[in-house]
Amino acid sequence: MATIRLGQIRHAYGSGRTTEEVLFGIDQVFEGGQAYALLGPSGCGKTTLLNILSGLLRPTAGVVTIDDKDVTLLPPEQRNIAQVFQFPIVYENMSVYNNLAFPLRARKYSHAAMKQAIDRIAEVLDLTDLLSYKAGKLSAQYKQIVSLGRGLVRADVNAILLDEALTAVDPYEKWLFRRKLKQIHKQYPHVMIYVTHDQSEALTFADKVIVMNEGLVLQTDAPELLFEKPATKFVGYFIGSPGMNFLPVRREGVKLSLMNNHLCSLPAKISKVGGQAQAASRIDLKHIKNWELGIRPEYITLDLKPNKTTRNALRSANFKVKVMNVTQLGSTNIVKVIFAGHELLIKVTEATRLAETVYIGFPPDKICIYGDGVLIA
Amino acid sequence: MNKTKNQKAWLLVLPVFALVAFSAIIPLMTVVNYSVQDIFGIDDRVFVGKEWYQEILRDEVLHGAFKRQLIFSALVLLIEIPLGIAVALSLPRRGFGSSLAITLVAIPLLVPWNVVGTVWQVFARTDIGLGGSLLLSFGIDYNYTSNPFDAWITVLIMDIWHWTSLVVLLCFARLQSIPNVYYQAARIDGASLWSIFRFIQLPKMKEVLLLAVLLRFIDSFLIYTEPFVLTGGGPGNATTFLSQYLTQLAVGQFDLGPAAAFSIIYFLIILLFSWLFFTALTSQQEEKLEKTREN
Repeated sequence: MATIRLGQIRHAYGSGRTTEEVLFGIDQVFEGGQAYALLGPSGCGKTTLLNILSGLLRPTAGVVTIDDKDVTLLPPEQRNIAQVFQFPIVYENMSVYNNLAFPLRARKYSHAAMKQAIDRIAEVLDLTDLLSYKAGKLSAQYKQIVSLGRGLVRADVNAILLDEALTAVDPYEKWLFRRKLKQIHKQYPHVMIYVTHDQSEALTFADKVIVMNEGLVLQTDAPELLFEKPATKFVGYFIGSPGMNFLPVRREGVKLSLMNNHLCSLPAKISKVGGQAQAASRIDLKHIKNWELGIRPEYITLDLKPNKTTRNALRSANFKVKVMNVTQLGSTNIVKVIFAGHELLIKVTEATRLAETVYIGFPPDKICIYGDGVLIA
Repeated sequence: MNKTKNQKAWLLVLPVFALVAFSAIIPLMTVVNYSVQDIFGIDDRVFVGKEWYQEILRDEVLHGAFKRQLIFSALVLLIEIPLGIAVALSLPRRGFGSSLAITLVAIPLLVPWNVVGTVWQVFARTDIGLGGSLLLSFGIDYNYTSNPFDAWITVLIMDIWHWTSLVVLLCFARLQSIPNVYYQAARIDGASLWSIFRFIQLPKMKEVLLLAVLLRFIDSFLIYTEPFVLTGGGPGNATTFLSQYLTQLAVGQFDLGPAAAFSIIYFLIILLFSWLFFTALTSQQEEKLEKTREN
C-alpha cells in the first residue's frame, strides 16, 4: 500500500512579472486502496496538483513523498504513477493492443505478463473485439477508453490519476465506466485520484472527496460529511444542488439568535474551526464579525399551517413566509421563499402541497454555524 | 430542397478565368501550336503532327539530362526531407530563441535564386572563394569547373542550403501544433525519445511531409537558375538538367518545334507527379474527415 504525501505544495506558472500563483500551500495525504475525488471549479488548480503528483510538473515549493521517499525531483517514469488525461490520447498509427502494450514495453514486461495484463484490462473495458483495430480510426469515446486502458494496464502502480478522464464518454456509459473503475480499484491497493468539476461524479465515485478552490484545499471528507458539515461556506454552496442556504444570525455572548428566536449556544470551548482541530486559546469569538447559519434546502421543513406543539419556533414549521416561485426538478420541487429579506431555497417532494404563504422551520440538528465563512459548530 | 438557379456566378468567375487565360492557357496553347507545326513566320507554317515529339524522344542529350534530373531530384528528397525533420526537431520550441532560430533558418529562402547561384559560384571558387580555397588547403583536389563530381556535389549542397529551410519550416509549424498533453502522456507511459518521434511526432507530421516532398520534387525537377549561374550546366553536360537543356534548344539553337514538344512532355511529367501527390494528400484528408464524422 503506497501512501502519497504532499507537504506545503506551492506552485506558480511563469516567472518575473507574469508569475501566476495557482497553488498556495497544500498539505494532503493519499492512502493506498482509497479512491479520492478532487473536486473544484475550473481553474482552481486541480490539474496542476495532479501534474505535480505525477511528476509532469515540479512544484515551486513543497515536498512530494511516496512511502516516505522524497520524489519531488523525480521525473514521471521513476514514480510509477499512471495518469489519464482529459482529452483522448492514443498512438494513432498503432493497434489498440499495441497502445495498451506501450507503457508495458517501456518497462520491459515479459511477453506473457504483457499479454495477461492487456487481456485482463481489455475484458474489463470491453475492448477485446477492438484489440486489432488501429487506434487512430476509433471514435473519440473509444479513444478515451483506450487511453484509460493505458493508464490502468499497469497493475503495480503507486497511483492512478484520472484528470476528468471520462469527458468524451456518453453520460450513460460514463456511469458504467465509473463503476468499472471502482471494481478495478477494489482489486488493487493503489491510490486512485479522480479529478472532476462535477460533484455528482465526485460524490458517487470517491471514498473521500477533496474540495479545492482558488489554489487551496478547503475540505477532505467522506461524501456524507461534505454534505452535512461543509467546512466553509464555499463547500456548502458548491456541494449540493441547489447549494446551502445562508442567513445572518446575531451573537450575544455565547448565544446565537435568529430573528429574536434563540438558535443555539456556542460550546464554551471551540475545538474545531472549518473541521480542523485548533488550539482552544486561539479562538476568540469577538474577532469573528459575521455570524451565519447554514442549512441545506433538503432540511428546511415546510408546512401549510403553523405548528403550535412546540415553543421553539426553530424546531418546526413556524415562520410565515411568502412563496416566490417553484421550479420543477424531476421528482422534486425547488421552492423559493423570502425570509426576513433573504431568499431561501427549499427542496420538497412533488407531493408536498404548496400555497402562497407557507410556514417553514429549521431543525436545529441540521444547522451549521459559520463564523466569517468558516464552520464553527 | 430546391436550389435556386442563378447563372450570375459565372460572371463572378470571369475575372479569374480571364487572368488565368492570359497567364497560363493562351501561352500554353502557343506552345502546343509550336509543337505540332514547323513555323517559319506568321504566314509561313507547316503542320508536322507528332514529328517533333518523335525527334525529341530520340534525343540522346535529352535522355542524359532526364537521367541526371531524376537522380538529382531523388538525392534532393533523400537528403533534404530527413535533414529538415532533424533540424526542425532540434530547434528550440519556445521563447526568444525559437523566433531567432526560425528567422535564421528562413534566410536562405529569402535570397533571390540567381543570387544564390552567384554566392555559391564565388564561395566555391578555388582562387578567391572561401569554400573552394579552404578545401584546397586541406589537400582536397577540388574544382567544380573541371571535375563533374565536384560540380555535382556543389550544385547539390547549394540546393540543400537553399531549400532544406522550407522542409524545416513546414515540420516546425506542425510540431508546434502538437498539444503538450501528447508529450505528457508519453512521459507517463515511459516512452523513449525515439518512441516519441516514431509514434507521436512522425505520424502527426505525415501530411506536411507529403506536402514538403511534393514541393521539393516539383522545384528540384524544374531547377534552372542556380546551376545555370553556378556551373552553366558544365563541365560538359555534367550538370545540365532538363530546364536548362530546354532553354538551350529554344533560345540557343532556336529549335522551337522540338523545344515546344519537349515543353509539353515536361509539363505532363510534372502534372502527373503533382496529381499523384495530390491524390495521396487528399485521400489522407478524406480519411481524417471520415474519422471526425464517426465522432
